[in-house]
Amino acid sequence: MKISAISNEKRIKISAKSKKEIAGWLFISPFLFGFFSYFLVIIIKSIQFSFSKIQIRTDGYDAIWVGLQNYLYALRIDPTFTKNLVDSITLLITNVPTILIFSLFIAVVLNQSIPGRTFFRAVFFIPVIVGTGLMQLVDSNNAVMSTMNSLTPIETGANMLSGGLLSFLDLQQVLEQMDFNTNLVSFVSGAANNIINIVNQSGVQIIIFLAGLQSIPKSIYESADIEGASSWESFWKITFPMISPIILVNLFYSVIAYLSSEDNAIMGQIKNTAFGKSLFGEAAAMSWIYFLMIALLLTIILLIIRKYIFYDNRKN
Amino acid sequence: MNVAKTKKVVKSRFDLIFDQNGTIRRKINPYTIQKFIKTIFLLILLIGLTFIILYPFIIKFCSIFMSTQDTFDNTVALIPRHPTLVNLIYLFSKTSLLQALLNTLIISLIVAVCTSFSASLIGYGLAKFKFKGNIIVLVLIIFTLLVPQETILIPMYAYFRFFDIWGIIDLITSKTLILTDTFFPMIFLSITSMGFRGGLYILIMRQCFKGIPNELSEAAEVDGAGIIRTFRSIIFPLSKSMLVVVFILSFSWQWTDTFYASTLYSSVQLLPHIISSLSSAITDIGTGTYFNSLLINSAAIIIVVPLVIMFLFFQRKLVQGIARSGIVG
Repeated sequence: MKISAISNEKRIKISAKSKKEIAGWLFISPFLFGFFSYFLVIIIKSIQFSFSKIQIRTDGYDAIWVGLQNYLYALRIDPTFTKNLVDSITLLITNVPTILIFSLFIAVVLNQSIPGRTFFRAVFFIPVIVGTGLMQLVDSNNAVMSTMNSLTPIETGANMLSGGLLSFLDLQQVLEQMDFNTNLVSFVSGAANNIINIVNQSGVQIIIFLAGLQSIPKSIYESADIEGASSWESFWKITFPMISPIILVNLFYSVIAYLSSEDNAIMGQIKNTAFGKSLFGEAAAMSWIYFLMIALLLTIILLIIRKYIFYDNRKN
Repeated sequence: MNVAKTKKVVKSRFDLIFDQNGTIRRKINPYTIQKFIKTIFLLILLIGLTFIILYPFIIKFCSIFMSTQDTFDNTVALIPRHPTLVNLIYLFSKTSLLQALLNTLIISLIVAVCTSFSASLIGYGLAKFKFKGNIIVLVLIIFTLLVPQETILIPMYAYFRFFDIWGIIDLITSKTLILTDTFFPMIFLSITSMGFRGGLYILIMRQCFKGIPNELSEAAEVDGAGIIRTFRSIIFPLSKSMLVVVFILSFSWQWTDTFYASTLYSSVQLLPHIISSLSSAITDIGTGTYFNSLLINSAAIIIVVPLVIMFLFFQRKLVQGIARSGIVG
């Protein structure tokens, strides 16, 4: 009698666990369906391209298997590919942290009660749209925009925007005289000069951070306030750890947005190789090399920062 | 609660002070001054950044009312000297802009709703259920994000032009389906989170759900709520702000999309088609290019304004103060 009761209990426990497992699979099944019926089909084709020579005919294309030749072309023969690859990744490493810090700062500011908060939030939403294809289409061949931008600075302040907000050469000199590290100086002044790009690239991150800040319970801040924590301390001790899962998302997003942006040298070269020179196989090989580098980089970053990500979950 | 109230009194705007004669005087709290200075600094910074962001749009807004002769006039900066409504009248009477706006609205709404739904489901499955292969699925999602759109342009078109899932449709009807110019590809892509940055939405939702304490859902389960009920009445209200973000992003990216519009929708009028037709509408060299640019700029404002209104409508949800009562710590 006793034994059967125990075994009965055990049976129920196992089935509850496997029920949860099945539910988990059910929840993610839309993604798996899409992945295996759509994405994989397309990706396999792209991998095939990278190992073959593509010849376009009028009614389709021929793919001739050439093995690793395309990859060797990209790495050994093409004169600019490796240089662009290194440049692109260096820029990625310097740009992404700047964007993350800037967008977190703006999100924290926009989360406070300042006059005109709704207006500023709407303004910082606009960069989300600016980078998209439609707005690039609008600005691509626009006579009025170029005329207006070339007017004298007294009238519109347009040159102010195109030539850097202040003369940052001065900033650079001042910092150099103060005996800072030259790399640091060039990084800081570069970021300051680049402010337009940074603002325009951080719209999405700001919104995601803003929503992430909502999920931090107000009571934590209140209790920290009572304990006498300054706002600086409560930022580092409360906001930063609580927002860290979202920082990870934004890190991924920034890398991906950089990957697909127009001003990325390597993407430009891949496009040019594919559609300009009609070397589709070589272009596919290049994009796969680039993809592998980025994947490697992301894995390394992920492994480093994984420890520091805090989930409000004592069991995990 | 009591302590918090006391704190509030200390930080109130004015301290009441009794001087020697016994009259009450108000003295400004140093905290208020500090806060005031901080606000001024922040406002200066924000206004500067606002100028950077809005400047291109100010030009575009001004060109709605600008006549072509103003564009040749070097003394005209931003404010038109001969204001007209010709641009607007041309846009609404001679182009199918309204039709395109309507079509884009339908597609964007479908995509945004489907994306928010599927991203929250998939994110929930990844965040709260432990099963073998959880990490592998996460890696696959990041993998789909990392592949640039341009690399899959041609295979994607071919996929929907000759649509078939694992050869099943071909087996039954012995032909493939033509799904371009229908809403189906967008529904398919957004339900399966394979659309533009679909993986990002999953990641956003997953990280958000991961931050919600397990105790909440466990408590609901103990009280007898099933998985769906737990999700609907516990998890969903707590992750509303992230869901709003997913909705806003997917809506506005679909609204301003050119990639799918140019590959899958050649006969359905969408916004990019209007913009490209405007740039080649009048081939009269000279005034023509300027008139075209004025039209394009006006159209751009007409396109952006609904998005900003939509954002203003939804940003009210991005307000702090979601209670997590019942959880200590």
